[in-house]
Amino acid sequence: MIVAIIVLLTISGIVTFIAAAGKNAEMPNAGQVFGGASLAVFTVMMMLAVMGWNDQSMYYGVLKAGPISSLGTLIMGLIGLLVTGGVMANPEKYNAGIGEFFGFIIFTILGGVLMVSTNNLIILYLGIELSSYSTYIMVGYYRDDRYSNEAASKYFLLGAVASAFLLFGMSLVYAAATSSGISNLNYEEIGRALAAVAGSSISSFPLVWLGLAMMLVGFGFKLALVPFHSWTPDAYQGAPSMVAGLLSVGPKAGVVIALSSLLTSTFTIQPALLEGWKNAFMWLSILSMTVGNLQALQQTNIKRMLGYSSIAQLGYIVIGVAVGSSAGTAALILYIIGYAITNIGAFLLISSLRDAGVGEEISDYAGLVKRSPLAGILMAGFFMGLAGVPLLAGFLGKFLLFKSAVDASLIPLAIVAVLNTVPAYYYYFRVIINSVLLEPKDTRAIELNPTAVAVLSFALLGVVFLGVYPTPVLNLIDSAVKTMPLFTASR
Amino acid sequence: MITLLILIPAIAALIAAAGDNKAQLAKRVAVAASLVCTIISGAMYLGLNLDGSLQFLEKVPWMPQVGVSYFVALDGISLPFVVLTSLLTLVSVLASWDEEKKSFFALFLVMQSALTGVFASLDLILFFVFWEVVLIPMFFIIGVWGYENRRYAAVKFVIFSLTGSVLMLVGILALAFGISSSAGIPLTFDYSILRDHVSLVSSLPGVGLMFWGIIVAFLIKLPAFPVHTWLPHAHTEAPTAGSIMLAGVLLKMGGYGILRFNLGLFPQQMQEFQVALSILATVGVIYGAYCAMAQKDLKRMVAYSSVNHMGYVLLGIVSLTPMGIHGAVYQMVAHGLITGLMFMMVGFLSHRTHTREIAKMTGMYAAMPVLGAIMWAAFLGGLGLPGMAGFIGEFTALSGAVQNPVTAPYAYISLLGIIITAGFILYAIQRVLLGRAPGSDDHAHDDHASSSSVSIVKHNTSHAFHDLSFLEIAAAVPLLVLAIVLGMYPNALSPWIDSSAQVLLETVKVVALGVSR
Repeated sequence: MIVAIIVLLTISGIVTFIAAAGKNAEMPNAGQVFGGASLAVFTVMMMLAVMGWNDQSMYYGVLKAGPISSLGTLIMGLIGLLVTGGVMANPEKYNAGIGEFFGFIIFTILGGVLMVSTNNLIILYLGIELSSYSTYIMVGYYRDDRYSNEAASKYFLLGAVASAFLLFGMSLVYAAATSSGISNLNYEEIGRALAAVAGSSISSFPLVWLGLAMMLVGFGFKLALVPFHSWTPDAYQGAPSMVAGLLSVGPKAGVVIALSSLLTSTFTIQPALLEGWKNAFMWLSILSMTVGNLQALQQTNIKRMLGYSSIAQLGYIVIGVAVGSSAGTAALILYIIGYAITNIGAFLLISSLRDAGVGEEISDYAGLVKRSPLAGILMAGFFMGLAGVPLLAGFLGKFLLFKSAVDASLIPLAIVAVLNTVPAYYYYFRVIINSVLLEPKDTRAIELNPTAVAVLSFALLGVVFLGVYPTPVLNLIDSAVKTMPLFTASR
Repeated sequence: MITLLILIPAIAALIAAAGDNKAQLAKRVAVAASLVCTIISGAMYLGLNLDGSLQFLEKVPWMPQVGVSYFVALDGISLPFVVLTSLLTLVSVLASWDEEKKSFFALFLVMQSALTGVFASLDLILFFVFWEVVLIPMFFIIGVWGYENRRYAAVKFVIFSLTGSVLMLVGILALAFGISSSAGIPLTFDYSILRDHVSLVSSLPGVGLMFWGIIVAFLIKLPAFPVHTWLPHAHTEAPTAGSIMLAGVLLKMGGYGILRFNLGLFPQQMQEFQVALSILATVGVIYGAYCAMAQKDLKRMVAYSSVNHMGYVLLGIVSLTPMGIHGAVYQMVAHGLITGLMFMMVGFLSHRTHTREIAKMTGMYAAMPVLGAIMWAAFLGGLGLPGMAGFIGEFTALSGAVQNPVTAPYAYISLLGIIITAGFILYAIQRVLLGRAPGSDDHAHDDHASSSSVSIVKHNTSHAFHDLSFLEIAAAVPLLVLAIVLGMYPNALSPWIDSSAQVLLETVKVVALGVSR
């Protein structure tokens, strides 16, 4: 099934580009046509992923089907659907080429699917690059906008450097492992080779450490973890809002799930490596949560604030990687799902308010509820969800992450994480306070786009559902996580 | 049954929010829902079996993976508060009949639902969830419908409460993790299972921190000195109905939480920190009363009197005697009725005079006899006049504290608080209620108001004040009647409290013996 999904996405992506180059791509409702086609593609993809749930086979030695890859594909499909729906609300904005835009979304999602279903470092790199390149272009999609251009160039230059780090790190690891005669870069094989190397001669260890450190830098950039986060606020502020929404969850969800499979299949064999890897992520997590939240406190532009807050949110998610237990991995996946829905919802709301003439400074939202009660309710819902108010999606994910950290006796990590909820509450609620309590500066009523309202309501329902009755989703995630190599053994 | 009490207002809130623009439907739905809940919970109150057990039990797994269940039940300590919640919601809605925003009523119904959940839930996570949900409607009620300084007050209220909540969540998690690992049982937040293992609690690492983490949230809500500073702002700025709910029910969440969770799950630590908590309580009593005396704003004065009254509650609880706990619960119920009534009357009064400043009002009894009389009764109730519910609460709480030699000195000091309370209440009655009615002739004989301030009032009300309307009287009467009935006939409440207080205190003794052995 996984091959079918990849073929489907590749072909539909290419067809979208070809069609977008045609004459008909200029017709007035092109956005709806292309968008509808993309929605259909993502729906079919999700159906295929569900059908292939129990498929455990390996394809060409590099693609590994299984519940985790299906689950990852479902998450990517959900992200794709939400973002596509959000773009369809006002396609005129992307006048640099609306057809291509949907093609780029498809390729971003394809990159994510590759990341979650591969078993091989090279394919992982390929997936990361595929989604990175698509997003580089999308960030600069407002060609006439200075900020969009600045964002695209910063994001591209730093991203390219990070990719170089990642690739160089991988090659160093390969170099270290190659002495035991491996023929490919599959996770398990590298793991075994590394264990053999480490067992035989300690002198080749520095090479492994250096390689892993460089890979860590690469992953850190892609996930925007402190201290590799500096591109985030500019990229988010300059990018079209829907792109920022996609950027904040799409590639990151793929990378995080890939990291978990990497951790559970490669580094389990050598305890020293495993511990080092987990420790590194623990520190990245602590730094990201703290720095991200403290920086977000000072922002006045809502997209910049969400940029910094996404650094902090990724810090939470990485707790699951640092813990490395099956509970931690399950918590991380649940958190990603909740965060994806909530964050894309928040960005879509910002985007549609922008279309309705509201600026992107937090103070522009003053009295929003008086201008459009619906927008006020949605704003309150999404930002409370991001803050982690109980009965909404974020709370349970945070709770499970704390629990997994405590279970793994990473008490300091858990304490830092809990303390970090306080500033997060403050800056998320500041937006709600602005939109509900303050008097509007501009009293004209706001009409939200009906398509946007439909997508937003769907997202808000998802946020509430995940918060109130998460058991089915949680069971699904648990059963998928239990099939990961490390956790199968310990079952 | 309990689920019904939680669901009815929640569904009613949805209906109210979907209603018409002038809130005609919303008001009626709100009255109907809270009335039905008052009747149901009243019937449950009368039908409660007084053996101290948990009744009306409902338990459904919610997130079995992490040991969280939907576990609600009531006993003699929690049921009075559930009745109080429904009744005060009804009264608040009646008292704000002029309001024309449907969301106002929807928020009150949401709050009623969540408050019922807080008092009924016996799963720690479920409790925490309801506890947090209560915050949201109150935040909007203060922040949207309050007086001039409402935003500051609303934000301060939320920040204080959230800080407490975070600490409480950490405490709850640490406790549940600790018990599950040292008892070798799967992780659970079930109150009754945790209580079965209460003897293990003292040996957990960092148990003192857990205890304080949880109690700080309750002390903030109570509010106890020195974390009471949010209260004067929140109370003063909140609309009348908001103040009624805040004083009447939200503060009780703190006292109830200390009884149920700190005393129930940390009996050993409760004894260990008895002196520290008694000192906080005593300072609250004395300091709250003095602060109330110094206020120029009538509503703020009533707000500070809550700090004073809640000090008795804390003192009663930490005395760890049956009588002290009985007094604490009795005082909380009485305070809910009487202070709710005080805020209502102050709200009605300031609605008519357009000021809350004590110095600008005089002769209100003569101007509005019905309002004046009810206000007089409420103020005397707040003073602890024998024959009204507050007296029994304060008296038993203090005598319980005297019975325990450790807390006795603080009880004697706190007795002074009664005198100060009497001082500021009588002074307020004298200045606001007594004197000539504004607008009547001959100001020369009026001792208590300067001619300029009288003229302000007179200017606003040249058509004289209209006395309470039928609806306003209907809102006030249930509280007044209950305050007097509970003052005259304590048996309507005492057996309920005693049955459950005994059960709670037995654990304290069991644990104390277990340690001395």
